[in-house]
Amino acid sequence: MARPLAGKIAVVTGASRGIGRAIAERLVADGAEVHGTSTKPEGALPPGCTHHQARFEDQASLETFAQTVTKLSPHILVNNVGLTKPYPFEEIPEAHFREFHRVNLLAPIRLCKAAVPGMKRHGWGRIVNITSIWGVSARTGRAVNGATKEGLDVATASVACECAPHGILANSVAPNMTETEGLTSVYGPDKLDALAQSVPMKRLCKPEEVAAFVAWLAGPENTYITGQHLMIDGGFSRFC
Amino acid sequence: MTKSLSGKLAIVTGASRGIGRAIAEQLQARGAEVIGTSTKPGGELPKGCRHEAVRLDDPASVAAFCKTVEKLAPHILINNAGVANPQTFETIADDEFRRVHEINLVAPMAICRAALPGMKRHGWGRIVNISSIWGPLSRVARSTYASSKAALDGMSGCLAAEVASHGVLVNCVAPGFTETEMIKTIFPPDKLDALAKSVPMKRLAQPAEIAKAVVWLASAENGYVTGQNILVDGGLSRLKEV
Repeated sequence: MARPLAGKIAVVTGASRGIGRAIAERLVADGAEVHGTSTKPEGALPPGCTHHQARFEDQASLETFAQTVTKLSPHILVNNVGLTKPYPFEEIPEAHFREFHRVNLLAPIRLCKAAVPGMKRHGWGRIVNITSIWGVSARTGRAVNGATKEGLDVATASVACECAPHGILANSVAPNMTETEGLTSVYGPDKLDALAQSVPMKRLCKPEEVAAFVAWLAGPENTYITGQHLMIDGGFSRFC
Repeated sequence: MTKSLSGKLAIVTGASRGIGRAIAEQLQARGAEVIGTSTKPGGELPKGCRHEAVRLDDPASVAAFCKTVEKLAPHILINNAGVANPQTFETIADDEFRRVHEINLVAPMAICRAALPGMKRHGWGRIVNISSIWGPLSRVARSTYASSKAALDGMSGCLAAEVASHGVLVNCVAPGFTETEMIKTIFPPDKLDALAKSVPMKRLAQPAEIAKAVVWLASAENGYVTGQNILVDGGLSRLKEV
């Protein structure tokens, strides 16, 4: 198998399960040295990944990990961690609002800031921030989730514009509903089937499909796509 | 390079130069059998490509080519050929508007339709239509071109929804300013330099860079991206410096 990322250091947040785990596995398979975070202790990440424990709702934990990122000087940063919990708008607790902003928006921006100086020194960098189709489309109960994800995309585009002359490309990838533990723990089989039928492809996204797209965007094959918000959604966002 | 497309048959329109030529070359390098079109008989395609002459502004030529496409049953179709003829809105002749739309929209639609029965039989297909940043973005004198390319995206989004359940993925790739013969016929060298500086990446795209994105979308690595218009523009579309 080709190892297009040999010699590259990558950081993936939330690498213990779901989409983040699939991304970490793929980057390892592509030859990168992968550092992943999880809120759990050692041993939770895919084989071949170096583990870092971090809780992004905790300012001190974020700051500690940001300093680690600066030291690691990764070529690739994938901000994958995100919270999602729908609430009717009038019932959103203040604490939830602040927690979502810290985890979904402020933490990825802080980690980009930590990674950019090293990428500038390398003269090469790839940032992929995982957003959501709920940062593009709206659905009831998604006000906070959607706002943080759309906010992350705009921040990503701004980083892309500023850092492009240094060989740093930054994009957002917005997956549709993806077959992860997170999703299957929330919905029963009937609801999952109904969700799948609402997508033109008549199935949910697979974590490894997101990982293949992210790995391509983060690899040397992508040299001119930057500042984009890219949907991987089986046609869902274009269909109503 | 991995031969990830071996056993796949691909059709690329406008494969004699620019972005289309780069796409044909990269599809071949990954093992696909490539049939390229150009307007000239026996046109100069990359080595190893089979040639079909077709004039997209001529409905009879397109109809004949569509019969060939239907017989060939390609796994991959890249509608790349297109024309640009910048004119300010009030100076556009109706016939010229129709000619550009015939080439940029009507012909790709017919060719997609010809390719679909085979892709459905294969249970696998990838269509990439080359659109343009002039659709999502605008600029003076682009109304003919932009309307044809925006319509191509609109058509592709709908087609994607119709055929997704058959394993056929349909996307557009919208190149930004790309160093091709076409752009050199539109802008003088000093203007091209200014265009490059207006892009966050401070340079124009090379045809090969657009081709890489197209080839990824057309490959089996892409399992779930469909109905999208992917801008390969060095960040141009997101930048608004004042």
